[in-house]
Amino acid sequence: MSTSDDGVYTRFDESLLDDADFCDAGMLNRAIGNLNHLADQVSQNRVKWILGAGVGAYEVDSTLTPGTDSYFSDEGPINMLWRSGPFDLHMRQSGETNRCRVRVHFESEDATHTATLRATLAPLGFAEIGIGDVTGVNTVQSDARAATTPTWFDMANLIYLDREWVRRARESVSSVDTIGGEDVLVTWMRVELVIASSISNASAVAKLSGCELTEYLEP
Amino acid sequence: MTATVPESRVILTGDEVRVSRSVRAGEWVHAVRLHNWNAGRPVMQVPANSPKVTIAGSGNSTFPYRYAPRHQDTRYRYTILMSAETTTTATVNIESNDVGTVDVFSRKNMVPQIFDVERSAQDTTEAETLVNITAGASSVDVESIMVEALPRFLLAEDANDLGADRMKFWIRQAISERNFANALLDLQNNLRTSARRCGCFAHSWGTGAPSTTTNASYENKFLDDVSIMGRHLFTGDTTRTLSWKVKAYNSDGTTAGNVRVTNDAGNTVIAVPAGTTTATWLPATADTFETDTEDPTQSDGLRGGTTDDHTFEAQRTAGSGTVNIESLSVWEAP
Repeated sequence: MSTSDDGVYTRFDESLLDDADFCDAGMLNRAIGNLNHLADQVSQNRVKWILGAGVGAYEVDSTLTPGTDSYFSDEGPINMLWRSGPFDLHMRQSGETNRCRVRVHFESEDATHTATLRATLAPLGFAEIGIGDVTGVNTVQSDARAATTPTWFDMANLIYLDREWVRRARESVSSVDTIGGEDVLVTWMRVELVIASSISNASAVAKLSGCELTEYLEP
Repeated sequence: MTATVPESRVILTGDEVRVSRSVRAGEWVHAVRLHNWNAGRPVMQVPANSPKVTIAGSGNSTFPYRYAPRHQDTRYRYTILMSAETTTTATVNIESNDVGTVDVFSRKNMVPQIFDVERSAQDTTEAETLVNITAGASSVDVESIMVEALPRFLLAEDANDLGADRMKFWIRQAISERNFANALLDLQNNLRTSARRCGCFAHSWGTGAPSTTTNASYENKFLDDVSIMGRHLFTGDTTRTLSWKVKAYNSDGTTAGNVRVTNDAGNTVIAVPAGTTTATWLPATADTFETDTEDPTQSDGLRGGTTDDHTFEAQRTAGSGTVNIESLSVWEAP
């Protein structure tokens, strides 16, 4: 839901304003609303891909033992299907990040036995913790799916980083304010999306062929 | 000059600024902070995408992408994930600069490879970026590529960089209408353009393994649709205009083809004309299409409860050769 009073951006003619113009309270109120609305809508597409036609999907290692080598055990990320690499997320006033919608495109390669996917947002080195805790705010799990054709699945919950995860994800990096200028240190979020899987039977193969993660300011 | 960019946004309270209310300077300090946050926090130019291309040992492939930069972008970070069945190396060139040779490990032990590249100039001119990867002795799988701008610490106070000096609005400063007009109101339309959802969708097959078509009927170039949603800005907004281009060529001078995108708004076609025998971004001026905007009144942000799914297809329209597509990019133009 928009944080601006009107829920939209209100246009006005900036050419009408110069140094001597009177800025009335209504105009300033509109400017406040516009700043809020632009901040709401600057949400970014962080991850967005679908495999090209004819390209084989990402699969779990076929040597895994179902029920043992799954993310429900302590085996680590051996059934990791795909990683994005670290990206930024916008941080809200509360110190948490924007919420994110997740979609995954997958199948189980079996009409009877299922595959289940989990998606987690985690800083580098923390993916196992995120994947292992499906109740975490940064992790979401798909329904179990038995299908031989991949389709998109919309994850039920939005995921995000709370303040504890944000603390782990913040990083100082060198940037510049002008081309060729001196380096300056800036802080931003470094978090990656990791998709992992579980299968109900050795006949099933979790196959990931697309993924989307989009920031969104939820109501 | 104190047009600094805060790390987190603030939520301004519109009720604090209404007719008959006393003016409180603190509210304006926050407004300037949010203004600078909108302008200076970084955006994605190429969302993380998976070419899932295998480059043979000692082989080479270039992954082109198209994007529309923001004036505030000064340095880009390229993040590339590669894996290899046998540990090997890969040499990465970005914008024809040799940025490094890196070790490539198994999927289980993948390490994101990070390359920061400074822009040659601050502008908003649509541009191409090239990521060239040469595999070492063994083959390399390219699993993810993304490009994002780095955050800014300080913005210049001009109509392009859009910085606003918060000290002019500091508590106990004189309330000057000139400051409101110059630092906030005058810049707001430009800020609306700058605070874009820049990279909407990009996929690069690369020069080593372009997507090919010989079919006279349209065939999907991907396994399925991909959803793209635009910003909701104005009253009554239901669609937003996005730009797109394809980098394509035909195998001979008489072959021609089309690339088509279909979504809720209909379809639009980019022609790959006969005679296009070297890889070229088409059309010369980016084509546009309408896509659904988000609906901020809905819990999931979806308009009508569904995503706007886009189907990208290609066909051969003339000749007997092959239509080759190296890359496809969709972005919100300034």
